[in-house]
Amino acid sequence: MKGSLKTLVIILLSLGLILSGCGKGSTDSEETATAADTESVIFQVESYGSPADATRVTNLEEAAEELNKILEEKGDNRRVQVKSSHVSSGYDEYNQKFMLAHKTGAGADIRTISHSDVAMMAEGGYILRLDDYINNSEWSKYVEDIYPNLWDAAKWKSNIFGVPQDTEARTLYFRKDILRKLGWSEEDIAALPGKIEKGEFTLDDMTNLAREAVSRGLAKAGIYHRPNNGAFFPAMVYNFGGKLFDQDSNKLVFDRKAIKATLNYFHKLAQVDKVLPTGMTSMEWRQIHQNWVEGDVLFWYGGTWHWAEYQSVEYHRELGKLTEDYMFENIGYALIPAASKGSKPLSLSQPYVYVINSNTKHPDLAFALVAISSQPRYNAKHAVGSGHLVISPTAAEEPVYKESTFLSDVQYMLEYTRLQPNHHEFGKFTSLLFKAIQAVEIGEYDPEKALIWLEEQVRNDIEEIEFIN
Amino acid sequence: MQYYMQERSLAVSSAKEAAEIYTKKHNSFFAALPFIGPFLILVILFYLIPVILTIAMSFTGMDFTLEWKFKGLANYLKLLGDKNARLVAINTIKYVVITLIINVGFGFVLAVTTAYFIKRENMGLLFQTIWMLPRMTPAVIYALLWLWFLDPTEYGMLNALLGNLFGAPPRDWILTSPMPVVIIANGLIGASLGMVVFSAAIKSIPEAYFHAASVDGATDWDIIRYVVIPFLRWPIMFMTIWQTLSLVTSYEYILLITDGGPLNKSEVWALYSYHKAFGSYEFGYGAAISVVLVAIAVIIALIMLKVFGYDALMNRGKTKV
Repeated sequence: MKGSLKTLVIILLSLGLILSGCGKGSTDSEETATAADTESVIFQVESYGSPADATRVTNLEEAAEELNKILEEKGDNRRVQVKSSHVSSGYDEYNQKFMLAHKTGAGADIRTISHSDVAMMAEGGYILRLDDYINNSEWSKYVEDIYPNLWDAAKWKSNIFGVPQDTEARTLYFRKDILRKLGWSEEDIAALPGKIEKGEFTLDDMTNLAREAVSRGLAKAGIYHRPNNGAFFPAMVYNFGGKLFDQDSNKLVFDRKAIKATLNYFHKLAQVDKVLPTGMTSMEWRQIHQNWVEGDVLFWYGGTWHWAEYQSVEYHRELGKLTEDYMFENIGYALIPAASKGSKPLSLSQPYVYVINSNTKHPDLAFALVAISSQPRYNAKHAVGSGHLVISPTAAEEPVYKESTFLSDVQYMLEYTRLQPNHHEFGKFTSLLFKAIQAVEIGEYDPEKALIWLEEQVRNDIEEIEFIN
Repeated sequence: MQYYMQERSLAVSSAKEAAEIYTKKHNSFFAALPFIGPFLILVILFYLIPVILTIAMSFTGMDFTLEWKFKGLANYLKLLGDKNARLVAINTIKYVVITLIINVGFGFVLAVTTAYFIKRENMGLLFQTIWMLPRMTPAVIYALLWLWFLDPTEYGMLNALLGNLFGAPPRDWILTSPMPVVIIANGLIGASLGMVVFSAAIKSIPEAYFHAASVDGATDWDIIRYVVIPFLRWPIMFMTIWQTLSLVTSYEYILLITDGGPLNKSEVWALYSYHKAFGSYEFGYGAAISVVLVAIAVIIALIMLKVFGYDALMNRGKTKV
C-alpha cells in the first residue's frame, strides 16, 4: 500500500512537472531582460493581409531601430526589439486567436486590424484608447498630419483606438485588350475612367458591354466579383443609395429599398444577362485571379492592392508574375460606376489600423513605435509595395510614391470613398447579405424572396438594427 | 455459548475476509492508478472539464467580450424560436444517415473487394493504402481538392471531364447540390476506416470456413452472405455506433467545402454551433446548441448500445473456431 502510494505521488509529481513544462514560462506578451545598463523590451507584432502587405510589420521592425536611437539620445535605458508575424489567410481566426490569448494576459502587443473591427475590439477591452498619446505626447508629431477621415475610421464612441496604417480603394478593373477587340479606340479606353467619374457610364452600361463581350466570344465571363463575404457587397448597397448605420442611435440600418436594388443587380447579372458566373460565390480565389490575369474576364471588381498582388504572385500560367508594363497595356482601372446616369460613382475603403493590446506593459513605447512607423517614408514604402494608398498628404509627396503612376492615378478615388460602419454586429449583417446575394445569383431565390429571407435572418440574429423603407 | 462463539468467530472471520477483499480491491485500484492515471488526467482535462465548461457557458450570454454573463435559460429559449433550427436539424439527420450508409456499406464493399476477392495480399494492401490516402491528407488539402475538382467553371476537373466526354456545359456542383457533395466527400473518407476494420475481421476468419463452403458448392455471394457477414456482425455494429457518433459531431469538411451554404442547405447542427460561436461571436448561444447536440449524441449512443446489446458487444466479439 505504501509502495503504491509512493509510486502514485512520484507519477503525479512527474506529470505535474511535465505539464508545467508544456506551459509558457511567462504569460506576459512581452518579455523583458535586463542587461547591465539597458532593458530590452520585446514587442510581439502581427499583421494580416496579402503577402505584399508584410510591410505592415517589417516597417515596425525598421522603426524599432529609429526608436532605439531616440531612446538612447534622451537617456531612456529601454531598447525595443520586434518579433513579427504576418498572416495571409483566415482573418476571423487571426482575430479569434488574439482575443483568446488576450484573456490569458497574452496576445501580440501591436496588431493591424480592419477599422471595422475597432468597435468590437474597443468594446471588448482588448485594445488601448489612444487619444492622449495622439494629442498630448512627445510622439504626437509623427501622426499629426494623418487624413482626418482616416482618424474617423479608427474611432469608437468618439474616442480613437487605432492609428491608421493604410487605406485603399475598391476599383473596377477592365481589360483593355478585350475592349480593343470590341472596337474601342485607345482614346475611348483612356476616357472610360473619366466617364465613370462623371456618372456617364453606369452599372447598366457596364452590364451591356459585358454581355456584348461574352456574346461575341471575346470574354468567357463579363464580370467577376469576390467569391466570399467582404466589403464589396455593402459598397453596392451604398451605390444604390442605401444607409447602413445611424450615427444618432448607434444602430445598424436595414434599408429595404437599397438592399432590394442590390439583390436585383446581382440577380440580373447572373440569371438574366448571364455575364457573371452563377457559381461566382463557390469559385476559388486563385482561379478567379488566374482567369482575370489571363484575359478571360472583361470587368473585375477588385481593389487597389490587387495591382501589387499581380506583380508579386504568379497567377498567370505563362507569364507568371505580371510586369507593370503588361498591366498598363492590358488592364485599366476606374471607380465603381454609379447605379444611375448622373449619379456619383463610388469606392469603399477599409483602412487598416495599428492597435495596441491593452495588456501591453509598455504602452508608451508601443505607441512610439507605431507613431514612428507612420512617418511618410515608411508609409509610402508600404503603399507602393502593396498597392495601398498613403495615410497623409506628406506621405503622398514622397518621391517613391509620386513615381508610382498607378497610385497617383487612383489617389482621386479617396474623394469618392465610403467607409463601413464601426459596429460590433456589422459582421453578422454582411455575412447574411452575402448569403442573400449568393441565393439570387444561383437562382435559388428571386430578389423579393431573398429580401424576405434576409430580413427574417437579420431579425433572428441581430439585436441593434433598425428597419427602414 | 459454543454456538455463540462459533457464530462470533464466523462473524470475525467474515469481517476479516471482507477487510481483506476491501484491501485487495484498493490495492488493485492503486496498483492500476499509475497505468490509468495519465490517461485519466488527460480525459478529465480535455474531455470532462470542457463539457462542464460548455454546459456552464450555455447559460451565459458570452459574446466577443468573452465575459461570463449568466442569463439562465435564455439561450435555450432562443434556440426554440430559432428560424434555422428546424432546417439544420433535418440537414443533420439526412447527412448522418446517408453518410453512415456510405461509411459502413461502402467500407464493407471495399473490405470484401480488397480482402476477399483480391487473393494476392500485397495487391489488396495496395488498394487499401490508396483508399487510405484521403485520410492521411490534411482536411484543408482534401477539401481544397474537392473545390478544385468541382470548380464551377469549365476549368473544374469534373466539368472539364463531362465537357470533353459529353459536351456538357459547366455546372456549379457545390451550390446546386451542396448536401450530396458533402455527403460524398465525407463518405469516401469515412469508408476507409470501415474498410480497415472489416478487412482485418475478414482476414481473421479461419480459412477452413471458406474451404468448407466451397466444398458445399457455395458461390462467392453465398460465402459473403452466410460466412463473412455473420462473422463481421460485431465489427459492423461497432463501426455503426462509432461512425454515427462521429458524424453527429463532425463538420470540418462541410465548413471547408460549402461552409453550410447556400442558404443553410448544408448547415448541420455541429457547424451551426461553430458558426454561432466563432462566426457571430455568440459563444453562449453556440454552447447551448452544442449541449443539445451532446445530449442527442448520448441518447443515440444509449439506444444503439441497447439495441445492439452492449454486454454481448463487449464480451462475445471474438471469432470462435
